[in-house]
Amino acid sequence: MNNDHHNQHPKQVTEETNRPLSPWLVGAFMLALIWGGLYLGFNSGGFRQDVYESNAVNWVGGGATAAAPVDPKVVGKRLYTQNCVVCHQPNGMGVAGQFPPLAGSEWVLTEGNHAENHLVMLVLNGLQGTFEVKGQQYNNAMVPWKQLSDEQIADILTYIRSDWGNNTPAISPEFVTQIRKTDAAQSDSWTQEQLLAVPPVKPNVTSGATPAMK
Amino acid sequence: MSHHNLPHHHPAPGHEPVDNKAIDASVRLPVIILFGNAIHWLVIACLLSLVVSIKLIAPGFLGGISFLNYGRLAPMARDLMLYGWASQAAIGAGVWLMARLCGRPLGGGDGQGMGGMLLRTLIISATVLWNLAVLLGTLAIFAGYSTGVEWLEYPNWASAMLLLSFLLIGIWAVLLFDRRSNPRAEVAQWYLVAAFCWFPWVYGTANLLLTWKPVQASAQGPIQSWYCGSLLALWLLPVALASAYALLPRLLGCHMNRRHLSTLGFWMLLLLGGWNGMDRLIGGPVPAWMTSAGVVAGVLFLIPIIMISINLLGMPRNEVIVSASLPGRFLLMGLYALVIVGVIGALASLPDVSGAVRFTAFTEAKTQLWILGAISLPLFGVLYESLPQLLGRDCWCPVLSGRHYILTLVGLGMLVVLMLLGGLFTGLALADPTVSFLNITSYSYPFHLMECVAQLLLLIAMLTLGANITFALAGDYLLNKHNGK
Repeated sequence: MNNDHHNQHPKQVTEETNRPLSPWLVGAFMLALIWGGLYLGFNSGGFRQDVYESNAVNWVGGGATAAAPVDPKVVGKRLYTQNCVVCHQPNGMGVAGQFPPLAGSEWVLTEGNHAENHLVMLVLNGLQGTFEVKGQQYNNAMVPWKQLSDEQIADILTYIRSDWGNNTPAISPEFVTQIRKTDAAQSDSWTQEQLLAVPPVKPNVTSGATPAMK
Repeated sequence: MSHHNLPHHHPAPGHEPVDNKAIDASVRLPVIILFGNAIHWLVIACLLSLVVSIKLIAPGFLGGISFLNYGRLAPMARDLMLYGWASQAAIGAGVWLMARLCGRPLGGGDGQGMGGMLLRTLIISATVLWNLAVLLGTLAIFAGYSTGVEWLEYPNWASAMLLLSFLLIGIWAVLLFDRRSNPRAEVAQWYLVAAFCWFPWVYGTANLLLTWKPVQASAQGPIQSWYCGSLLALWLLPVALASAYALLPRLLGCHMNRRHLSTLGFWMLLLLGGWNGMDRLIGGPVPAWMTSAGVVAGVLFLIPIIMISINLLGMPRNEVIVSASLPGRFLLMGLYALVIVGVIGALASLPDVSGAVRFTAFTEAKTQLWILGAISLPLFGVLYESLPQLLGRDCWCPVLSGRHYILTLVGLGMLVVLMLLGGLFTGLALADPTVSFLNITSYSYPFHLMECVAQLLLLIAMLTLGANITFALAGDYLLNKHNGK
């Protein structure tokens, strides 16, 4: 048994175990501590109890600023992925012969006698019967999307009008609200003839064309 | 297996150290009971963990029975791991190490007097109380009476029993330190005293403020995070580190490297440990400075870990001695696990990384490596080292011990790597709006499948350990019978 092993060499123990630390390591520790102090200083929100998000506020002046506005195209893309992508596909090309494309579609881009109110109406109530897009005939049904809020429909439409080479102005939630009101009497899905018989309504353009999404 | 005695430095006059055999005899029964119970909870915890991970790949598995839901089994498994196994084994390891390092048998004198006997009875009763609390608490979660606070799911009365039981045992560990034979305490003793003072404080405070008399909701998140960080870093880890500081230099026959660093490592660990969990709350409804302090603590926690590594992993060691000493290898692996946990923790606390991986298996990997790696591996080391000395003979079956070692490391390594990778992929997929939630679950499926295999390996490892200790203790009984005792 080595009970007295350590007691024989107390001096050696001190010499052997107290070599100084590598200056590089000491330097690294110092840098880590300085970083820690700076990080805490810049992200502490002034150590205030009412500042929850250190990046969103300028704590020197105190008080929170408004949150950054949400980009409707980002929200729209998410909603599109959740609701529309099954038929119209992630690339907006639809499925040949079954589901019409959105990319370059005159209905989406509101070209010719197609107007923004038609686009909103067909999303609200859905479609049935024969339907022509980009010179192709489709005979299928689109379900109504009334259950989505005005804001959600506006976001989706803004998104599909700005991706895949489409480049047309945003649709505002107010415009969807307005169309939903005038559209309230319609209970069935639209046919193409009914829809195009409705006089075109253009939204009050307040902002320019939204730039295309990358 | 060689039996190294823990030596005593500079005995003060009138405080001559008592023979190690007398010390071991004074704590033999309580320590064996603590370890034995801890291991049986460990096996059950591993079994439940396996069922829980099977539920992640087959949600219908045992699904029709309300008390076998994921939401009940998962906290049962975690709490058994924390209180049934880790804390109980830490108490056992702590009592044995404290008595040895202080050179004092339990109860004063030679440990065999009236005082010693009363103390042993008290500690064994407290151990029974502890296990009763764990059992009833677990059954309460099983029956649906969980408090719903993570890691504090036991109902009020069960947590009160745990706290009382701990106080009844812990106070003697601290009093032993007060009567130590070496006036200049060893590093291991600092860690033990800190740990035995810290657990009642954090456990009592967290229970008081979260379950006994809950404070307002917005304050509960930080308190709960502080508790989780403190339980690991200020109670269980210090006991694991005390084991390494006390045993490794002696087992490996070399001196601690750069002893002066141990002071700084100790105080930095205590300073940062409680803040360590606060980064879990990034983006939550808490003042920004709290989460920022958590981020800083998570990164700076690497500094005490590096200092401890320099002390213990930096020792010039003889690989022949290392490979011959199973406790030594367990302790070393525990330290390596701590280093990895430190690196993962520092990375995961950075807001950019945290934002991506926070709600995935990544955090679970960190917790698993904490509990099963940095904490459990050193506790296994103490167990393998202490039992032969307590029983006074080579009691372990070398084959089973070796299997346990390999299976634990392979199972744990597999589990942690799979959870880290799976968590990373899930996190990146969650951040991508074009990936649907259903797709994400199918990405993580193969990882969850392999995690079941890893959990199965861990269960086999713990069953091996259970068999090993059963044979070890039964062997003692048979030997006594043979000798006509």
